[in-house]
Amino acid sequence: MGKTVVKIENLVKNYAELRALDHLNLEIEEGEIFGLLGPNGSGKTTTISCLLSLLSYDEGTIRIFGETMTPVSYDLKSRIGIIPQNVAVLNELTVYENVDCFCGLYIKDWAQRKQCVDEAIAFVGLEDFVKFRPRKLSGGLLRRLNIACGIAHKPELIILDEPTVAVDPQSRNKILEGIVELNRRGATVIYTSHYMEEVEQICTRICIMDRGKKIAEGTKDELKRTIKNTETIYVEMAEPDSTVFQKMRSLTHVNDVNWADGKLTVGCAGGRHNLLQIMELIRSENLDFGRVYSELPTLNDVFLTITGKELRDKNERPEEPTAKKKK
Amino acid sequence: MQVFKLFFKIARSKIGISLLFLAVFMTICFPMTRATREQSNFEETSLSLYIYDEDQSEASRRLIENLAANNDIVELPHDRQMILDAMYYEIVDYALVIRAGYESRLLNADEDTAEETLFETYHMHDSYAAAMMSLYLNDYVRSVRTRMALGLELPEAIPEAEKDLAREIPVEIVADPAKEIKDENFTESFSVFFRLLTYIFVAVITNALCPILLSLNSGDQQKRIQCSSVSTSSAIAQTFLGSAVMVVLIWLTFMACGMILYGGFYKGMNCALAVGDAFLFALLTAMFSIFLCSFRLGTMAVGMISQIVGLGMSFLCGAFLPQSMLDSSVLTVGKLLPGYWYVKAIDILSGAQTGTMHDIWVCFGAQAGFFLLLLILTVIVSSCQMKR
Amino acid sequence: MFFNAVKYEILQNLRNRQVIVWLLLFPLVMGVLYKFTFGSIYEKNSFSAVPAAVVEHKEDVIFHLVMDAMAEAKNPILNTTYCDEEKAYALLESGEIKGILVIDPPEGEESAPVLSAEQNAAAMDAIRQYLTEGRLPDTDTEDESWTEFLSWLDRGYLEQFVGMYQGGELIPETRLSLKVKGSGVAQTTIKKMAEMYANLQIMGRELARQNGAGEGGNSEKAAKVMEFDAPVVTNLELTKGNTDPFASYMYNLIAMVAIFGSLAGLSIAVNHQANLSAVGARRSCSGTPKLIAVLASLMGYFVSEIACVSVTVTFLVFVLKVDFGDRLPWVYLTGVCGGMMGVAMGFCFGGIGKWSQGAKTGIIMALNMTLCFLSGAMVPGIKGLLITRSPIVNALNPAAVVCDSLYYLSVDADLTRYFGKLLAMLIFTAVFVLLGFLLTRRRQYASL
Repeated sequence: MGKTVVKIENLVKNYAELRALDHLNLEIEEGEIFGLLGPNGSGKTTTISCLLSLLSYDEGTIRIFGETMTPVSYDLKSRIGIIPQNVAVLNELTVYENVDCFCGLYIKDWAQRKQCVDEAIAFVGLEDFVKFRPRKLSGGLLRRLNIACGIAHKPELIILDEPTVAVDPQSRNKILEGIVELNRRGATVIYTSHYMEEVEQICTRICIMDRGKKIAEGTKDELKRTIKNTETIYVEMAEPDSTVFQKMRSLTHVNDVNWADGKLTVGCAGGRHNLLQIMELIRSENLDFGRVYSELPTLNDVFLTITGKELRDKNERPEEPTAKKKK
Repeated sequence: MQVFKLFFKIARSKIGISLLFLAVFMTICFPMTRATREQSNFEETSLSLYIYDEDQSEASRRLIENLAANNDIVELPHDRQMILDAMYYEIVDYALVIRAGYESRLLNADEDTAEETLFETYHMHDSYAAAMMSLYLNDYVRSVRTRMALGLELPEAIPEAEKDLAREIPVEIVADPAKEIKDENFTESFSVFFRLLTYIFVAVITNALCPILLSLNSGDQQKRIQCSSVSTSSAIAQTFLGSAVMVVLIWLTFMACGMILYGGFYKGMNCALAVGDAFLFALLTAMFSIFLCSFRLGTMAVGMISQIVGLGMSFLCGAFLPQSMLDSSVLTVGKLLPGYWYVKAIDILSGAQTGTMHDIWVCFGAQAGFFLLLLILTVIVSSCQMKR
Repeated sequence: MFFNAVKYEILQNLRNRQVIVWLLLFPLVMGVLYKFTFGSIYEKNSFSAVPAAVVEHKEDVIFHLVMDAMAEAKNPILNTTYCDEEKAYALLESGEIKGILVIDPPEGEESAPVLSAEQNAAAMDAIRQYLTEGRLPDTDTEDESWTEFLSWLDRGYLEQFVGMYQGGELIPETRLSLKVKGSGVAQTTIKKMAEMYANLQIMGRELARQNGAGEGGNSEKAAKVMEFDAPVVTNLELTKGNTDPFASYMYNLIAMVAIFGSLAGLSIAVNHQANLSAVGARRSCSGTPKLIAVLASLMGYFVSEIACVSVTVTFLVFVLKVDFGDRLPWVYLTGVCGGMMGVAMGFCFGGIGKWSQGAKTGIIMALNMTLCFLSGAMVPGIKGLLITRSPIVNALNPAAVVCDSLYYLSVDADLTRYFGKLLAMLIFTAVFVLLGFLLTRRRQYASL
């Protein structure tokens, strides 16, 4: 096991009467791409903000690289790179100038900084746009600039807060590839998103949050194993009678059988030949069928199974609290 | 009326700034409107005098009393720099020093020389006040000395001289009722409020209207409206209606504030005409805001243009300084701006300028002409923008 | 790192449209406008002889003598035009004159016909002839006004006319009155002039009466006093500087540029606070202490503001030829200190509250215009009003501090008061910067 880079213990954050983080515990190892997954309002950004000492919190401790994180932990901060959710660049400066300006907050030496800036720009693929100002860049390019500004100083810990929002698929792919490459070069990455497929694609370990709590944690395979149905089989056919339903339910590894909209859905847990036995039953009953296909569970399935709900809509979101001065 | 409702939804979000401007400008109006003194019948202009008595004699004291009877005496420390400031900012019109030995030399005119005079005055620049006071002091001294030469002692000569000086000649104010429409209900001092509205309306109305219009005309918002079931002409009409309602509200608010300064409801025909003039100017300013926004400029550009137009018009058209003080070349340029006609009408109504009802209608007509011109230009610019 | 940040702050400012518009373009446009409006206003409204018309219903030679003598003075007070009543009213209506002095005979007396200069001389000859030969010239002449004059003499005014002539000085008894269109200092000046003459007239007749009654001694002395016209007032020059009161508009223009620096300073606070901007969040997470980062931003903004104010001063002095006196380096220094004060003010204000940058910009614009108004940038009388009624407002108004410092530079012989204002600007700057630091030093927020 690698050493612990980030350790969050019993973190509690309240916005007035709303509990945004409820005794959150997290531990992130060195070299991981740690995914923080959850719907809007689950507390992902709040966790990140507390981690970076931007937000005050009510209880708990946060340690980064073994030291307690405080607002004046400049040594720790110099080892962290942040790519915030909102694009944080200066509109009056060009791409090169933006990266250089923010890199300058970490690296004093001019020659070293120049090298870092050039590398960062090459890394995100903005060499052809160095003289452009942010207004002239597309959404994807802007996000890549946002990333370049956060990683130019070669941080050991990189925190990306929903970096692919409103980004075209090509740029999104590029960003995800870049994150994997950064990790390969030695950075520990914390990646927050509500796009499950992204997290599934790149994260080595995932934490699912909801309403400020950690509701599941593990690798994607571990998470998938926590749900009942490890395989779901779909058969297009007319609605079978109750006898068939009964027979199907009695098959080994079958958890549930449903029919709706011309499709039979069979959830199975475990087993390697589930599709075969279902097809044998259908044939033995001389039932007509159309397409047949099988799906393995996704993180979305994991999430839905764990939380039992769809993506939360706006009405259920907590209201934005008013700011109050830190004591 | 969806666009109309949207207009006011946006307005509601920006009401804070509008109220702030309202408070700021009412604060400005209060001292300026009250500061100007009223004069109905002919009144001698009294001066603000600073007097320093080096002589401290009975004669100097009598002189000071005599001067104080018809002028305002300003108390200041005898400090050259303070006097300079007071004269520069016109707190003091004339600074007089009664030199030591005034009483003794009053008795003997032969002792006077060009260098050793009875008085000194701190001179800033030639002014009517200096000319008037110089005349009066010469007259005073001459009268006192003449009475003494005729056999009176100084204590008797002074009151006699003061009686001589107190004699006034009759003054008649000549006014041709057929040529002037001044009435006592709308005075020059109160008209300062209406003159200041030249700048205030431009500042408040453009700052209130332009953000809303820019929001409505912004790319996505406008596309949403164009894709809706509301026709373009209906959308434009509703926008105009919203602007008109907002302008009327602003105008009413300022007229109500004006009533506070006036001390009650407006009285008389001249007040009514002034209120109407202000309404016309408010509409004109609204039209200017709409015209400005038709160029789809940014908030900052609109802000700068409105400030330049507001300040520029106020200076060139006699809102901050009376038209009578401005050079003819300035007024020539001012005539090309609607503010000039607005202020001219106000000045005629208050009696600051002579004029007849015909002149008032000319002023109103000129403003209406500017309104139409802006309307036509707005239509042209908007059409070009839409084609683009 | 520090100078890298300063460099980029300067670059940002120079490319920021808001800065270009409000700190460069706007002052230049307003400078041209002020120059055009106030360029000749001082000359137009400075003192000149008050134009007045004189309508004589009774000839008053002494009045002519007195007016002629006063017209030859270095700074004549009245500029008189002698004409008939109709013309006088026309001149008054058109505004060419400020008042009409009417000279009437005493009540009950018939007005003497007004004679021309040649006819006056002829009248004197006629009287001499009458006194020597006992007869007046013939009335048989084509000159109607001369005929009328002789007829007037015949109607009983001959003795009065001879009496005035024999008195040695023609001091006719006349009534003066004034007709004006309204009250004002010019009209009051005419009135005072007329009353002075009326006084002279009364004293002159008193002297003549005493002389005639044999009280020669006193009357001679009095006559000598009345003739004595040495000035009784000495003018002491208050300042050699620019006394044009409209110059304060130019001082206020520089003050306006300085105060508008607050628009730029506002962004410093916004761009360094995590709860106000994403850039602020990024900067708050950086390895550079906030104090140093903010200081670097302040330095950058100070440099930009100083550049803008300097351009404005240069434009006013060298292009518009505005007179700031002969202490130009101090004018630049005032601009520098004022600009820094403006930026610091914006920085301090930007740290207050959690409103958006747009809302704060609107509020600070309203504040700036108020401060400039209270400093006399629009209506001139407000400054004098505040000096008398509420001097503390002037002392605490940053715009007024800059304006006053330029005024002191122009009119004061020494720089004591100027340095006082300069010090005030530096103190304001320090206080605003300190307050700004205290407001933005907050490193953790209850919410973002």
